[in-house]
Amino acid sequence: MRKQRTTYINLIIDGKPVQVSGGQTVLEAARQSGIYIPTLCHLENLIPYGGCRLCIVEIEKMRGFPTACTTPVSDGMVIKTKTPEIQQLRKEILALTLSEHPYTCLVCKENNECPEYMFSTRKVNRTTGCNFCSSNGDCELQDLVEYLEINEIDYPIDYRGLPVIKDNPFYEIDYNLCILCGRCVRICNEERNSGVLAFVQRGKSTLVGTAFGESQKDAGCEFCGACVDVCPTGSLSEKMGRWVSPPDKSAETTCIFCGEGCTMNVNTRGNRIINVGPPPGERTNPIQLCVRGKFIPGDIVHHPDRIKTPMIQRNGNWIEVTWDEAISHTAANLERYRGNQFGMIGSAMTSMEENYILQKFTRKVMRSNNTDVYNAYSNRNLLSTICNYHLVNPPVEIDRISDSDTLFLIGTDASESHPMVENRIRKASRNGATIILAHPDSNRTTGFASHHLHYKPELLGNLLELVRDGIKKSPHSETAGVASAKHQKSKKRIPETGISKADLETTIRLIKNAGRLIIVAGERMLHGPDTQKTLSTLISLEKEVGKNKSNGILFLLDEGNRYGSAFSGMHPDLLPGLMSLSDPVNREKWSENWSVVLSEIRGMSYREMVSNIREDGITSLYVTGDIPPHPGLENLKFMVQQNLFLTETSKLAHVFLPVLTFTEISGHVLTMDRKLKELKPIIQPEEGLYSVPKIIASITRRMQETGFEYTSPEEIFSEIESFADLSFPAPGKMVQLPIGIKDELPEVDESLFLLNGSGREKYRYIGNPIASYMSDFKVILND
Amino acid sequence: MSSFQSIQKAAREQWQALQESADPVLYLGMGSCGLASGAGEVWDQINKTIASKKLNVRILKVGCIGPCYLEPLLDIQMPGNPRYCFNNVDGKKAEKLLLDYIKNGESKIRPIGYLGNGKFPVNGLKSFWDQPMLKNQVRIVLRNCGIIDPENIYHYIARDGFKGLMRAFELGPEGVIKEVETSGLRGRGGAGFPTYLKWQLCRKSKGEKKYLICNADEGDPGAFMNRSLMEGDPFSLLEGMIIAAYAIGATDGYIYIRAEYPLAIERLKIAIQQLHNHKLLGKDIIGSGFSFDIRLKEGAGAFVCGEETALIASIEGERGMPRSRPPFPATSGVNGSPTNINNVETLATVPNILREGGTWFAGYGTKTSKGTKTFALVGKVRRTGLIEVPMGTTLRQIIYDIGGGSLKEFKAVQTGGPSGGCLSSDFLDLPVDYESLTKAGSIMGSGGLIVMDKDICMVDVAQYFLRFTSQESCGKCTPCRIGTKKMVEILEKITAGEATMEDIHLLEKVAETVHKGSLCGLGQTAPNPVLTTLKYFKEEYIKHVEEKRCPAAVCRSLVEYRVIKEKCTGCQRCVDVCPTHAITGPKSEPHNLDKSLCIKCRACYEICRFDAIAGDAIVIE
Repeated sequence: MRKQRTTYINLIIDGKPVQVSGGQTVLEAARQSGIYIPTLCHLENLIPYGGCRLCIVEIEKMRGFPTACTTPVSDGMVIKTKTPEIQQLRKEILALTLSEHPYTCLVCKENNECPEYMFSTRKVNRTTGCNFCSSNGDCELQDLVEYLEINEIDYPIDYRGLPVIKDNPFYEIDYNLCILCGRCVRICNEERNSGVLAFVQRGKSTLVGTAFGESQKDAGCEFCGACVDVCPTGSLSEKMGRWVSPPDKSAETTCIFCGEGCTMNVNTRGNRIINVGPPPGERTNPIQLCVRGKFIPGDIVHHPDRIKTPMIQRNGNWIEVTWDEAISHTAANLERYRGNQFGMIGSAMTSMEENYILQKFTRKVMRSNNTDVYNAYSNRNLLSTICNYHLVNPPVEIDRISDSDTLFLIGTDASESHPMVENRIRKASRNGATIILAHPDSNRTTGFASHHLHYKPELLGNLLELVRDGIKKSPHSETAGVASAKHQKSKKRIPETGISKADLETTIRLIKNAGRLIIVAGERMLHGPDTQKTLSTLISLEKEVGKNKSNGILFLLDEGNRYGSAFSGMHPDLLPGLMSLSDPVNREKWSENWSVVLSEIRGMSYREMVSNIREDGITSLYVTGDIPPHPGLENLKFMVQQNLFLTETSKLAHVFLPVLTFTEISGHVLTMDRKLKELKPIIQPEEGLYSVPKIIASITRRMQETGFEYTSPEEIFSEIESFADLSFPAPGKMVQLPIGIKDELPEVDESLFLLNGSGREKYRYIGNPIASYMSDFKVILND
Repeated sequence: MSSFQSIQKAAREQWQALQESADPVLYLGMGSCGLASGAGEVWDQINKTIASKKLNVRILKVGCIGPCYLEPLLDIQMPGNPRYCFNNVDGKKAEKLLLDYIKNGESKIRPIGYLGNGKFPVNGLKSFWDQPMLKNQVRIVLRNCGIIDPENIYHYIARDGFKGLMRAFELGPEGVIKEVETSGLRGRGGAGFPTYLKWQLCRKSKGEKKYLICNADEGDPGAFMNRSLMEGDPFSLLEGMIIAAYAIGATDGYIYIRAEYPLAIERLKIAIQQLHNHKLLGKDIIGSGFSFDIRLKEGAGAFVCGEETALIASIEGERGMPRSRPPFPATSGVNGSPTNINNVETLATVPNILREGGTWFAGYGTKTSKGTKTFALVGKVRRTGLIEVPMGTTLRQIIYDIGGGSLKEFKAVQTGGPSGGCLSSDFLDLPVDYESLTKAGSIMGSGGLIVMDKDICMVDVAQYFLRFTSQESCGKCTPCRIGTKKMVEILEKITAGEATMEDIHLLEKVAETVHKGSLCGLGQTAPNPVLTTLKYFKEEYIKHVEEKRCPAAVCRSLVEYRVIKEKCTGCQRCVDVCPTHAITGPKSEPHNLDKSLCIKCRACYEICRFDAIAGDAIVIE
């Protein structure tokens, strides 16, 4: 919505003269002036609803009792919010609401003593009162009953007697507790644009449900959990921690599952994650998350299969050992494989600090430049190219997507890879933006895209060239584009792109007509073939559109810390600070920083490492997280796996070291729109679990090396900061990356691209396929 | 000659040719009411006869002319004669009439009246309009109903159709609004908001696109004014819409009509097509430069969609749920554009006002309520049907002079549907206008008038209406969704004889909460049937509660049936209808009623001609 010029309006609320800016509602004006008006269905950022009728007020010259949440302020309004009549009416209305909600405990005299003799009642699995409800203590109804001092209700409870819906793995739905405030329906449609929830039936039979009573999954639910976050009662609640009692602590951290780096609020109780979402008691402005951020973190940390003791493999059996034994065994073995035969596989799903330590260990101690993350882009110049592009074009912030009038999405399946980007794309679409989707397959975005180009993956470069040239041909003429599109309605395909001429013309016309264009380069492009060409063509295409019409390119980096890991030096060609290894000046600088002479030998990428395991290639690997069991791994002389779980690849490892998850460590990530965000240790690691810097420090100590004696992650971060000649702004702000990345980098290993593809079956955490550990997750996988 | 004049000429010629037809012409009332009473069968029979005897006879379908109790109505127009009207025709009677007239030019079956200006009406036959039910009516909106073929635009045009529109184009939009202001026309949908003001607000609203919606979601139980009008004269509604759209500057029109009105939908579709064919709808209407088109949107069966904002939501494809006002539809309606919504009758009145002038229209009615109003007169009244009377006509005039009085002793009249109230006999001399009805605790509503006699239980009536609103509540706001349900529960308790006086107090309390707290008109007015019955018939409630008896012998739990031996003639009619064989007895002797078998279906009570079945011996100890 366009912002109107601010006009000030004078009101009198409860006898108090108040000045507010125009265009607000009475409720907003009152809240701004510190006057409380009770609400139940109201939720900031959603369209005012006016269903619960608790915010009724009296306004002079207006008939009846208008609701504060829906009534816009106008000059000279005289508003009364708490006359005895209003309070009485509110009481009556809330009593009606409660008559359909199991309220016994609210009006029961024994309420306080009850928990002492009700231990077994939860087995009943039927919530008959607050003491039997998972949201007890975190319920807005309870707060209102207290505020309105209701201690008697004239009506018997009308228990709906509906079965609790448990057919999805993430949350339970108990519509017996539902008060039909409509928040879930509205957030699902207005904010998430998922369109899964709706009101069904009418009159006294009104309920929330899905179309035709389908299961959440069949109705297209993406399990973002927004509905669960906003539910004021216990009607919707996460399965995980549902019966553990409400959380008592809450802390913010950053989600690491994709490049968006959403801020997430982790609610805990006694060192256990209860849920992820807004802090207890707060539901407004819910923190936006997707299924991964909302439902996975707790499952990972508290997973029963998680390995918590170091192990050594002897004769095909894993033997639990002490840390001391594991470290000395590892150190002794690594000692034998120093040099270029050693490879380090880091992870783009952990902190910059951990990656820094791992690559420092590789370069300084192991004297090797073979250091890369799992599932690295096949084009090893990709990140440098993007960074160079961003030297002149600052990264597009995710939130700007919804303001654009045209979106050109290339190879994106954001609803699965980057749900919060998809969320903004849907908002843009709802605001009337033109969505051009270029993707080899149909996906959820196809459903509302204005135009879909089904290109052939290997021909994307040609397609982009044609689009670029088309834009170039007749600049600044909008009508010409339309006319030519009309003339050439040819369905004939252009052989070098695989799309028809008409489709191409339409695309060119739509891009030309854009006023605020944003191009989104998705996974299929970044992981696709020939990225050197597609990328440079795309950049020149964007240039052709021109600064006045284009708002830039957003590169959808897939894992949470792609930038951060590369920035920390977890890259075969780049030293920390994105400094090219091939440049002797940089090598010299870092040799000095680390008091070592750095190897000049070109580092191997992830793919090169795993496909060059042989006597004169790679002989030992240190793997952070999990990697697929590539053929040849069995030939390794020594392999350390540092992971949460034992996997197929673990069978080939010699030492297994347990590791901490991202909710247990402190550190930093750099998001895909290049914001620096923090990871916070929310869960205290269990006895006997150590962070990567500690483990590496112990190993180096055994190897008689120095330079790893950090006392805290902050120390590591300030080392990166000072040595990388870069001062980071406060977390959350956009980071300006250093200038000077040279283009002449080692050749590209074109043939070795690894298509990550889309689809939720590819959801991983530090390389571990999520579906294989969170078996419930299979529910949302594509059939 | 302008293009309209040429259409008009053709129409008049066609209409005249029909009047002066050399062949007999039959007009059959084929509105929903006619069809319900068997007009379909009559139609088939006549056509069969015409075909088998190879007769040169034309037969036309017309809409409902008003007195539904006379349906099926068949008019026979012999060459040179007016239309003779025959009531309650069935297939057999129709065939006989047809053959009699073809053969002899007359029949022994006497018509009840004639229509038109024939020279030689049969001996002493009076005009159809002179019947007691019709004589006190003033037909403005309904002037064409039952007269013209609703599927032939020429009939409408021949009877001065579109003259109003032509005058509107002469006056200009502001002039039209001025004329409507002079007429004093107020919304016929219930609230009675001045129509000109509504138009003016929408006209002054800023917006690239404006919508005009006709609210044809007539859903009040017992109301059928709009349906009959749309079935009998769809053109007047369409003309009214074009005039209204012209006045407010709307380009897009919708008729939001309930899907339960298939015949009205069909006729509107035909009418819209015919308007298009004659360039009276669409781009550049009849060369005026004004463009406007109308689409039909069928409602999915929700009563609440008659509420403006819910109706808009429904048109937008959303669930039909009202939203709070302000903003009003005049500033933000369909897709956020200024939208004007009027009732069918309001819009259909407009062409008449434009044609005859606002002053003429204002000549009818009272000081604040001008013109005429249609009512669906139903219930326990002798002459049922659709009527149109000037505002200010008293209830007594309507019920007794027009309706012929109640079947049994008059008890109450319900006006305004589920949002209205029940008025007792004390109010019979109340003039029917917006203010008087509101003052009495009821509302004008869209025009349903349900007459109740002593056989009706007022608590049961309140329960019926509350059940209706409770089921039709959209479920959005708490007071309406739960409050009406609670009220139904309490009323059920009362009619079951299980209530205490406490419950009546609770009922009053909930009613107040629902009235004050609800979001839209449906909820705010839902308690009216309860509040008015509690006000005017409280003793009935008290009898249910304290004496556990239902004075009207309606509430099953409180009624026991017995045979009054002294009155029973032993005719056995009750024996025949009793579904459980609870009544037995030989012929000509007082019957026996076995209470253990009786299911209190009331069939015996209804059928007894001697008042020998008593439902009033209602003692439950």
